[in-house]
Amino acid sequence: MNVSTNPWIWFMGIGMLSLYSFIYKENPIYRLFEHIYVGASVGYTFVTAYGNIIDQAWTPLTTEGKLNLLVPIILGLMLYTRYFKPIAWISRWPMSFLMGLGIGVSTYGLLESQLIAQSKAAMMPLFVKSSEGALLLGRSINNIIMILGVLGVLFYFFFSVEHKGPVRRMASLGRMVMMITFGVAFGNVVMGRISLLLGTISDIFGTWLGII
Amino acid sequence: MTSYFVFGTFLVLGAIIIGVLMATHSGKIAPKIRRIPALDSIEEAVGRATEMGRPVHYSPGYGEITTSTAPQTFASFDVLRYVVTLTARYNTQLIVTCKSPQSFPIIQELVRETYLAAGKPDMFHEDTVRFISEAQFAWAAGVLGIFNREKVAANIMLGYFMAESLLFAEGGAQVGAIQVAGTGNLAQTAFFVAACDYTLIGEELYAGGAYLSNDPGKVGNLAGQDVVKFLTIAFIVLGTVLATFESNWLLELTAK
Repeated sequence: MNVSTNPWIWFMGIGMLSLYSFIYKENPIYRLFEHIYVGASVGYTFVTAYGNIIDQAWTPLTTEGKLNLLVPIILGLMLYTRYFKPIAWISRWPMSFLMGLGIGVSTYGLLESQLIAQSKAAMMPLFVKSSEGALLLGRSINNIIMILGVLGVLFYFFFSVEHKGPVRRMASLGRMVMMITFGVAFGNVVMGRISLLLGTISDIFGTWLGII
Repeated sequence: MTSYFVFGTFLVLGAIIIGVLMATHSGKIAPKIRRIPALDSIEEAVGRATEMGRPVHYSPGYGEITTSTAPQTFASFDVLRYVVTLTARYNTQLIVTCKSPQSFPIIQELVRETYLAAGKPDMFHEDTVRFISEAQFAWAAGVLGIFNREKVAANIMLGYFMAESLLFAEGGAQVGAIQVAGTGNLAQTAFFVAACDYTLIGEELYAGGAYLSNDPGKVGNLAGQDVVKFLTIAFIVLGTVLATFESNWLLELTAK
């Protein structure tokens, strides 16, 4: 057993165990480390943001004369007007700019990746043949299931059409496909979380306590 | 790289949605939205919190307002407005926890104005909307602490969620809260389906605003999107038939 003598490793180990104690129930030790964690992260964010303003805006503006940087600086300062009631309305301008920018930037990407690329990926031949012209049954069945699944899910998300008759049957198929997908996703993520847990165990029993 | 096909699609689909929206708004058509049980359950959740005399917790998720997650965050704001109205009607305490410093002031304004519109401005307190932290797991740790200390009776989580989804859902279940959740992130929907009482799956989140408000503009928007979905189905079926007959015409068209 080779217990670490580094005080930060001890802090890390105690912090991990304290946060894990939430599994039993909320307790004062959890609360202490919760507040340390939240406080430290907010402090870190503040320092990073301050550094970004100095490095990416203030320094280039004052030393290199990049006057175009005045625009984001002024927009940023306008956000703080919300703390002064008579001029609080000014803070809505940069906020509207940010929201408009967000929607504008995401529109092209989402249309391309979420609609067109996925539709193209679903356009598969129903009957797959080998280079010799023989029918590949397994791949053909696979393609048919995938195409029906995609169409079923699209039918499920019809909101202004009542789910009756054939629409209901297709929507039920879509729902079933989604539930199977969720099961697979759940399993995959649990596997990922177990590897995170193993990393934590390695930190506690290896790096900190030196048992493994 | 500019894609003429993507731009053309944007124009056509945009025109369709705006056309259906305007037709709905002017009363020429009156689309009806199908029942979405998870959205109906929100009133049940707030009612339960009212009966128990405990607060309702609302989380708009991990999403920002300036990235591709923005549509989910905006969709969440629509439902939040409805939740604030319900809590105002029943005099139930509401706690909204934020991760994004950009959306925090918007949410504060939204909650304040909705309480004002409901005739209950006194229900808005400085700690009604709480910024926890921008760091994902510090935010999660803070929210879990709030669940336990404030003994929330209803936990509503709608928006873009990532790895914190299961932490929140388990934390809410630990305090016995009725939970309604929904996200467009399909990888996380699995956790909500497993751990929450009601779940909005994928696009149902976007339908929330129209379903809850019945606003003709929003309903028209949703109906327009249904037309787009129908065209997408037709597009995929056509592409599949062409692919079966070994024609790449449509795929080549989309590459332009």
